[in-house]
Amino acid sequence: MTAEPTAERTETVPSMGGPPERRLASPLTDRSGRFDWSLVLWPALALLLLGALWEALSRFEIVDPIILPPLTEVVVSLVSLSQEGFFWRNTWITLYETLLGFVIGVVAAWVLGTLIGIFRPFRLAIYPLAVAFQNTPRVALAPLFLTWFGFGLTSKYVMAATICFFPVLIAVVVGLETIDHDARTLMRSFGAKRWETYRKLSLPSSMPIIFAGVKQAMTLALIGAIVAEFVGASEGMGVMIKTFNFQLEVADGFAVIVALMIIGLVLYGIVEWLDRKIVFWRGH
Amino acid sequence: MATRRSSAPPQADAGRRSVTVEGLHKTYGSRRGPVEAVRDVDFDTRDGEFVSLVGPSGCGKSTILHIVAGLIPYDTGTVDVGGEPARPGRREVGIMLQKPVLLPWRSVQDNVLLPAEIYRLDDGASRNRAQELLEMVGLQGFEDKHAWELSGGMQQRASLARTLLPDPSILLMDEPFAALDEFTRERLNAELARLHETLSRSVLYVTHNIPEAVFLSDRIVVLKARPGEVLEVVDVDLPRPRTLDMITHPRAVELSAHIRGLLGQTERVEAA
Repeated sequence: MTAEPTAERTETVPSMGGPPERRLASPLTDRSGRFDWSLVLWPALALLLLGALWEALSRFEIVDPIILPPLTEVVVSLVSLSQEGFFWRNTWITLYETLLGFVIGVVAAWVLGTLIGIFRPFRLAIYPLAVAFQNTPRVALAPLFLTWFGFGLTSKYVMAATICFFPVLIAVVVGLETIDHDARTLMRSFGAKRWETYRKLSLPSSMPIIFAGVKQAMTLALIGAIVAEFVGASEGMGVMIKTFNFQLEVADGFAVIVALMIIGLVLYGIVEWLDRKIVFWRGH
Repeated sequence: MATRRSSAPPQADAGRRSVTVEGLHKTYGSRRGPVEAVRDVDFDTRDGEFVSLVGPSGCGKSTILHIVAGLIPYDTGTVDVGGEPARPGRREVGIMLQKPVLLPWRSVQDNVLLPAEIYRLDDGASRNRAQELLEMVGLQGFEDKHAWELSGGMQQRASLARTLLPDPSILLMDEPFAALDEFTRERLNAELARLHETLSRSVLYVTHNIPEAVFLSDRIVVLKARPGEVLEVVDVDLPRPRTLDMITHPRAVELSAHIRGLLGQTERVEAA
C-alpha cells in the first residue's frame, strides 16, 4: 500500500563555472519546469470514461439500479447528505477515531521501535513477537476490543492504533538497521554519545524509511476505525454505511464511501506533503 | 638523507613522536577460525611528518589506522597517540575515511560543523573556522549546498574540511581519494601536499597506490599481506614543496620501483 516516489522530482543542473542549481519541481511539471498537461489529462479521461460506464450500466438497467445506483444519483446523495447535521457529526467521529488512533499507534511504534533498534535485549525479546503478530490479521481483534472497551469511541481508536502500529514499528527498526556503517564510524571517532549519535545520525537517516511506514499507517488507521465501527458502534461513517445499506439506500451508502475516499486521500496527501518537507533529501 | 623542508616545525618539536606503534598484533575472529591481520608491527610518525602505510589489500593497513584512531581494539603491543593510548573522541586526532560520509540532510557548512557540535566548541569561532576551511579547500560559495550537489572530489574536500575543523594535530587518512577518478585524485593529492606543507600536521596516510605514497610522504611503511607485517620503512628524500611534476622525478620513479620490488618479492614467495 506504500506509494513509492514515482519519479525523481529534483534535479541537479550543473551550470558552467558556477555552483550546481537544485530545483524543486512540483509533481505536475516536466523536466524543464513547465506544467505538464498530460499528467492531468490522462487520469481525468480515465475517470470520465469510468464514470460514464457506471452511469450507463445503471441507467440502461444492465445492472439493477438498486445494486448500483447511477453515479449522478450518488453525487446528488452526497450533496444532500452534506447538508445534514448527522452526516457531519458522524464524519467528525470517524475522523477523530482515525487521527487519535494514528497518533497513538505511530508514537507507540516509534518509541518501541527505537528501543528495539538501540538496545539489543529489547530487540532479542520483542522483535520476534512483533514480527509474528505482524502476520496475524489485526482486524480479527475488533470484536475483542468491542468486548474490552465497549461501544464507545475507545474500541475504535484502539483498533486504529493497533492496525497502524506494526508497519511503523517495522519501519523504525529497519530504518535504524540501515544506517551507513562509515557514518557510524565517523560519529564514534568523534566520541559521540549514544543519544548524540541517535539524534544527529540515526534518527534523520532512518526518516525516509520511517515515513514509508507512517504513510501506510495513515491509510490503515482509517481502515481500522471503519472496521471497528462495522463490528459495533452507534455513530460514525461505518455505521452510516451499514444503516444505509440495510435500508437499501444504496446511493446514500455509496455517497458515504465517496466521502471516505476523499478523507483518505486528504489524510494521505497531508502525510505525503510532510514527507516531502521533512525528508527533502529523499532519493539522494 | 631526508631533505629538510622549507616549512619544518620548530626544532624542539622536530623529533617528538606523534604516533608510536610497537609490537602491534591483531587477530580477527572469523567463521573459519582466527585470522591474523597484523603481526608485530612497529613504526612511528614524528611531529609534522607525513607517513604512509602502503601494501596490497589484506596487509592490515586500514586495520592499523583504525586501531590508531581507537576505533577497533587490538590484542597486544602499544599504540601511543600524542602521548596517550589510542582512543576515539579526541579533538587532536582527526580521521578521514575513503567515503566522504556527508550527511544528506545537512548543508556542506553544517556537515563541516558536525564535530564542533559533538566536541562542544564555541559556535561563533567554529563558524568562522568552517568558513576559512571551506575557502582553503576551494569550496567557497558551496556552504549552503547539499552533498548530492557536489562532485565526488568536492565531497572529499568537504570531508577534509570537517576533519580539520577541530584543529587536530594528527590526521589519520584511510585511502581518502581512492574512489575518485585519476585526474581528481592527482589534483587533490597535490593540494594535500601543499596543505600539509603549510599546516605541518602529522599525517598517517593509508593507500595501496605506490606513486601516490611516494609523492606525498616523508616516510613509507611498506607492509606485506596475510598477515600484515612491516617489510621496510622507506625514507622519501624528495625535496619539498612537492609539485605534481615530481611524480616523474627520477628519484620518485626509483623509490616506487624499489617499493614495488619489495612487494613483488613477497608475492613471488607466496606464489611458489
